[in-house]
Order: sequence, then structure tokens, then C-alpha cells
Amino acid sequence: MKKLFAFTVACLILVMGSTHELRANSVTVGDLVISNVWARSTPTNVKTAAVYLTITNNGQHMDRVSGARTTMAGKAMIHQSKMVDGVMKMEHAQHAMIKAGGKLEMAPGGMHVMLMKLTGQLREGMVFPLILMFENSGDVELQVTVKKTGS
Amino acid sequence: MVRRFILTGFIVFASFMSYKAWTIYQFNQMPSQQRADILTSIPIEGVFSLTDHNARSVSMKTYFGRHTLIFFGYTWCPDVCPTVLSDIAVVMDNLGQQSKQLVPILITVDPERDTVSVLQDYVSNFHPDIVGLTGSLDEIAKTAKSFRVRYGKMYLDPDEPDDYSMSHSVTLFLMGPDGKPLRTFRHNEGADELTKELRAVFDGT
Repeated sequence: MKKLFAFTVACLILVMGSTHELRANSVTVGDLVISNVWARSTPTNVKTAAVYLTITNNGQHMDRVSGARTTMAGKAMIHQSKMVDGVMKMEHAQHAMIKAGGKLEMAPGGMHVMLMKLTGQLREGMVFPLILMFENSGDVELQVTVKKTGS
Repeated sequence: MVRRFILTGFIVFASFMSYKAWTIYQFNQMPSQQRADILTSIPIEGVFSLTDHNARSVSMKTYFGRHTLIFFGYTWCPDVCPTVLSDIAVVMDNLGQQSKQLVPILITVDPERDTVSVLQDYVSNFHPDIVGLTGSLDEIAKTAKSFRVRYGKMYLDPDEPDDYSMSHSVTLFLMGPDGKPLRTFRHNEGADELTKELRAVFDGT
């Protein structure tokens, strides 16, 4: 009986722990789930950084990210790193679309939220707020986790 | 006679030009990656005479006896450069003892911002073995030309000229212990693949 009780408690802790983990890593707004929001820590003198994240659209309608803002930076823009004949260029994307039932991944080497004029250094372990502006879902506040430089 | 000569000359010239136009057209029809591969397959000279992040004058000769993995980038680069340098840091750790045979080098394409002290701080954030190189605008231009690397300033906002970013070739160049180019890698090869390929080079397989 004691064993069964201990087992149930252990299971409960596991289940609660995992849902807590899920909640901590993702934000749900209507049909949108925004997860894995992170940035790389920045060297001392660098004033630019990139925020990466994943947006899943479980709804019937598309939505678009039209901009971003954060207290950590003077300016935040949606950027796309694009390779043209072996030369990497960064382009300002007016918006980023998440199709109905689709997924938008902002990952290294592609689309990212570019932060300019950082107000401070991004250090490993730090968490800072970022507001994504959606055309349909409105403004959504996210917490960006800063990972170590070698991520 | 003269007219015939001019006419022949014209026909030869016209055929040559149409052939050129045709090859350019063909090249432009290729997918971007294929074009990039062709551009990077042309042999490079790969020489430099620059200043390292410890303010020492260095050239390719400085690193003779070891392989070098050369990448062009800049410290204000928020996405691709830190991704590549992070990969290189992982590769160095993966290589263990073999990492002693390799010097990873970042050559800045933005010497105006990337002074010796800026580079020193920057590269040490990724891995203690990564070398950062800078120089005058002219020295950097010469070096880039020698590696067939293209780069340029891009203004994101005309009202804020200080907020420029750089476009640049992102090929990784592996040079042998004699300073001669061995092969290139794509920037998005990933740390594991790079480790594997470099091990094969060091093991001579």
C-alpha cells in the first residue's frame, strides 16, 4: 500500500513537472502556440542580437507577425538572412506569416527577430520580455531565455 | 576587302558576345546554391597580412604547420556569424587532441567597427582558440579578394547610417599546413558534420 502511494505520488510529480515545463516554455494565445523563445548571449560591446522562436497555428485562419518591441533594445525588426550567390544578406521582412494549421520557425540562419541598439548585454540565464505584434491576435508578451554563446 | 574584313570581325565579335550572353543566362538560371558552389569552386590564392586580436602582425605563414579554418564575418552580425562561430567552438571541443592541428580564424569584413580590442573580446566569447583578424579597409579588401570573398555595407534605415549591417560570403575555407587551400565548407554544415569531415582530413582518409 505504501509502495503504491509512493508510486502514485511519483507519477503525479512527473506529470505535474512536465506540464509545468510545457507552460514555462510556451505561450498560447487563441490558436497560436509560441514556443522555444531564445537568444544567444552577446559579447560585451556588441549592440545587436537575434531572437529565435517557433509559432504554431492550430486555427483555421492565418496570422502575421508585423513587428516586435522590447525594453532590451532600441529597435526590433523581423529579419531574414538570405543567401544570394554565396553572399549572406539580411533583409527586413515587413511581416512573417503563419498559415492556418502551419508552423513558422525562426531559427539560426533564417528568419529572426533582430534586436538593434541593445540597452544592455544579454547574459546566459537572463530572461527578458519581448512583445510580438500579430495582425489578428494582437500584441503578445513573451519571455526570451538567453542561452550561452556557443548555442 | 576592307568591308569584308570588318564584316568578318563583326560576325566573330557577335558570336563571341552571344556565346558569353548564353553562358551568363545559363548561370543565372541555376539555383542559387549551385551558383554559389561554382563560385566557390574556383581556386583561391588565400593570402593575408593582417593584425590578430592580440595586436600582433600575422600572415598565412604565422600558422604554417597547422590547418586553418577561415571564415569572414563581423561582430555586429546577429545571426549567421555567431551561429558559425558557435559551431566552430563545438567542433574544437569535439576534436579533442586533434584540435591542436587546427586554428579557426575569423577575418572581419567590418574593420571600422572591429578593432583589435573589439575582436579580442568577441572571439574569446566563443572559444579561446579562435583567432580574430582585422586590418585597414584596404588590407581587408585585398584579403577578401584573395579568397574571392565578396562583402558590402547595407543600410537598414537611411536615417540611421551607424546601424549598417554587412553582407558577406559565408564560405568556410580549410587551408592546409602549407597555407594552401584544401577545401571549403558551407556555413550551415553543422558542428557534427564539420567534426566528421575535419577528422577525415586529419586522419588522412
